[in-house]
Amino acid sequence: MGRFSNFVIKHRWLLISLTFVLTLFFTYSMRKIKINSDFVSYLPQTDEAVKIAKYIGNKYGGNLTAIVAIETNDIFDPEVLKNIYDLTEKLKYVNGVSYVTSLTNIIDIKGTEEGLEIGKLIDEIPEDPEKLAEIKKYVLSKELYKNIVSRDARVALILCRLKEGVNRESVAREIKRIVEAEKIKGKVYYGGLPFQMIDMSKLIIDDLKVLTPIVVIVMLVVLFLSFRNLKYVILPLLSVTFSIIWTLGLMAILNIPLTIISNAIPVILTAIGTAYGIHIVNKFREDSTIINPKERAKATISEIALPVFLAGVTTIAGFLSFVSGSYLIMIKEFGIFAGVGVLFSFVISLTFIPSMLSLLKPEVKTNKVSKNQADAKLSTKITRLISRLKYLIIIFSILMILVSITGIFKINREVSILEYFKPNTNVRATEEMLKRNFGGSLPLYILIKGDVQDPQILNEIKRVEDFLKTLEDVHNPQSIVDIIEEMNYAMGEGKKIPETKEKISNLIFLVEGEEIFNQLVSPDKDEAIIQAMVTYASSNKISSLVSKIQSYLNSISDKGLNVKLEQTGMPLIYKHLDDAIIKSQIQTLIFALIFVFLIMTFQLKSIPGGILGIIPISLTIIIGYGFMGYYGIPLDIATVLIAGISLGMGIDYSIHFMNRFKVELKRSYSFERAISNVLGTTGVAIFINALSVALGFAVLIFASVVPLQRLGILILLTMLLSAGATLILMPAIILATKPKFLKKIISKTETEKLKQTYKEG
Amino acid sequence: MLFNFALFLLFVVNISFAQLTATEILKKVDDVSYAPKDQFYKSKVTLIDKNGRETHREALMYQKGTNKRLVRFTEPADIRGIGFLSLPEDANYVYLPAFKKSRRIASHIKNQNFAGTDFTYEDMEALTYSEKWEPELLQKSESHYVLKLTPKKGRTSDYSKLIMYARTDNFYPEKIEYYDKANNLCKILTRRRIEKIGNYWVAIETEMKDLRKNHTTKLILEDIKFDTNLSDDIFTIRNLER
Repeated sequence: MGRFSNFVIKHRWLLISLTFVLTLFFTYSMRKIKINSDFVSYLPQTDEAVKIAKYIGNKYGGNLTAIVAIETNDIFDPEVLKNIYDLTEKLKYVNGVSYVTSLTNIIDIKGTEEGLEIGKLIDEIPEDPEKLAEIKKYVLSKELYKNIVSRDARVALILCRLKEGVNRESVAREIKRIVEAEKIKGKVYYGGLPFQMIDMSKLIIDDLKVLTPIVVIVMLVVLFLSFRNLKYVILPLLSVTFSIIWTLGLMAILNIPLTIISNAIPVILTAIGTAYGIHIVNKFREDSTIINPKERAKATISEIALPVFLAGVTTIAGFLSFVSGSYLIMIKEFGIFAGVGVLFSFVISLTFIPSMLSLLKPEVKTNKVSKNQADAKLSTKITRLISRLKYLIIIFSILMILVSITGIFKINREVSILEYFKPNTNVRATEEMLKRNFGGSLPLYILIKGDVQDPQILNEIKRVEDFLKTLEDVHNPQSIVDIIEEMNYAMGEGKKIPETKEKISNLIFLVEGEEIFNQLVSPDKDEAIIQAMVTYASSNKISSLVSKIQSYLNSISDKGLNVKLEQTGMPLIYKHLDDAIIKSQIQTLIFALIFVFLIMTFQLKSIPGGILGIIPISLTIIIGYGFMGYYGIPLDIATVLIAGISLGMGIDYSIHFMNRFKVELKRSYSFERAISNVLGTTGVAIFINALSVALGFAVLIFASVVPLQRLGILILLTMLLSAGATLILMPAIILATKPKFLKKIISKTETEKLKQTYKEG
Repeated sequence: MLFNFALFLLFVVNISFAQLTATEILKKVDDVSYAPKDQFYKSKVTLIDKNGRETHREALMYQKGTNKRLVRFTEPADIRGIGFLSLPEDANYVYLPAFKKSRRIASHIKNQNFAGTDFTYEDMEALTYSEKWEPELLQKSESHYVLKLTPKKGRTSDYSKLIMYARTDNFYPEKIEYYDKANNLCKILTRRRIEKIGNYWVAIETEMKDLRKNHTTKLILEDIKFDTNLSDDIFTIRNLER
């Protein structure tokens, strides 16, 4: 590391100017950073469910619906109906909307004495109360309208189907703009995923705006309290700020938008990056015996560069561990760019900070020494205490692990985008209202491939539909069968599927070209869909619902009919997300554990050393999971990051500890004294580091997005735990076991020293 | 000299036409559009959806005067025999051969599209333009009169207005733009290959484009026969059900 430190100090002016130039460049690029709140756009395109959903989206005019809901005392009021009519007509013309369905344009099929009537349900809005009452009675009596009017006739929906491949958020904004420009008699709600994206987008910006300044202030305070010296506060913060600018600038250049997860990158980088600065500044301060700042900076870097580098690499590895296992592309992107940010952060810390430090005026020694001595006294006491209680500490840790393990089995998962909003937000209120009146807003689709004019196929569709109706959380399933039966009835042959293909094709001829037909049957009439709405109760319930539907579909496919059934829609996608969360969690955990084990083994050049090094972080992870289980914090798109982040960062403490411990052991030959020295020096830095990271992440508790809040709490916990475990449990284990690989260090130095004295002598 | 004379003629003719009122122009449009006593043709229908996917159908069309019409589909096989009968006073019937039954189609459903085409029942109704619309002359060019048509008092329409481009030479309405109630241009009717067959002008090709659905219906007429004294028996429910 000596060569590296020479290089840095030699080229300090170049490095400083390069840092500033790059920062200016990335500040300029950063302007163009975009926000993407559309979580659907981050679904993996290779997933079967996503593929089918996209297929349906392309063929049937979209698979997501923006829901405009109007609530009044009675929808069947001429003024309200006029509102609905006007909106329906206007929203049709919104770019990106394929179909608008409401009371005023939905199909009506009636068999009357006169004959057959296929028309719009409400063509002209009657003023006459008697006529209105008649329409109301008719509408409420029909299954077909259950998904646009509530049973109590107080809520009416205008369903805007969004085309596939459009910018859903901007289409939703346009719809909202049009609705808001209209004078509506009643309360208006905006529901469904597209509208949720608008709110999500706002949360992303708000969090960015609010959390970033808070975390900077928190870091300022932490740094100032630790070093009580302005320059030691400014340098780490400056390098962190630069790394954030570089990262966001790079994202803007690569056209990677911010998401509900990656909007936490500034907070996370501040929390993590400050730590690198802390270790460097702490060491520099400690080396106060060297008067020349240039030499002092060089000495600092040559000792601290390796552990900071290793710490950075493990953190990056922790972030990169999300890349392979995650289902949502936004988590992969987050992993990559948080990793890149950490890289920037430690590179800037290792070059810019020492370069700046080397420019400082030589410092006259002050009362530092006495303070160090005071620290030393305290650390000796702590070490003695640890030494005395070592077995107790170990037993207590084992007990904690056992208790936590039982908690792990209680961990829930949470995948619904809805749950990302706090309970009293508009989005949640709207969802509750929709759930109450219409059962839910998660679209479910069953794709049936087979000749739609074949009575056998239609009967299968009907059976699936009937099956869906028996499921508690599925609401208002709809298919072409409902239309055909209605028409068969109008033809005077009963409300059933006609028995011949000819009859079916005659009936289909009458509704071909109708919007509802195009939403339910393919143009070639070789496939059809059943659509339904699903209530979201919990990830578990959704998963079991989806499995139930799937096994039913499989049982039909087994019958050897010429029909293929496939399920898709948000429930299935949520299930895949749910499955992936567990899978990715386990994958991340294994990957990161192996990686940090290798790093520790490499650092200590000993396998038992590697094992010892990962003990604190393993304990932390287990207790962290146990905490999630006991406190009901679910695994979600953010808390799934806990293992990677905790491992990647928590291991840093082991690295710093062991790095210093080796040095001290060489100097003092005694485990007790070495530990005491480590605790008094690097131990302090570790403590400050953990505190700053923990407090930095704690800022996320103020986030508007619920998963980020949870992540904040968990990282706070795991950072304090892993620092505590490193500073207490690890010394206890070392003192209890006196491992061979550490004894070797002593004997090696002893022989070397002996050799040296021998030579000299 | 001859050229000058032609110019002079054109000038005079122009002046005389320019003096026509909007109402007179629309009357002449009706005269040319609804001239034959009866007509028969084979219609090749092409439906083109937003992805450019085409569906072909064929139908026979019998019409007497302005208010009796029988359409019978002959192709493709799965709709063969389906018939539509329109009689005066908005009496419309559909016949479904598979059911061997006809049903009256409710009279008030004007904005519903006819058999998957881009024509609504209103577009096909028996009323003449003058009966239904109040014209206003917007513009006159060398080739066309541009009329704005709004529904007459007492007439209801699904459209707020039509803009009609009638040819100056024969008053044939070559293009009509349809505006919906929100005053958006929603459909465009274009007639091509306007030829004189016997005594009457007729558009061999008609295209109706629905701008919102991005869906087009094209009609090509064949075997056109005018004034063959079609019997009233053709336009009966009994014949429809045959």
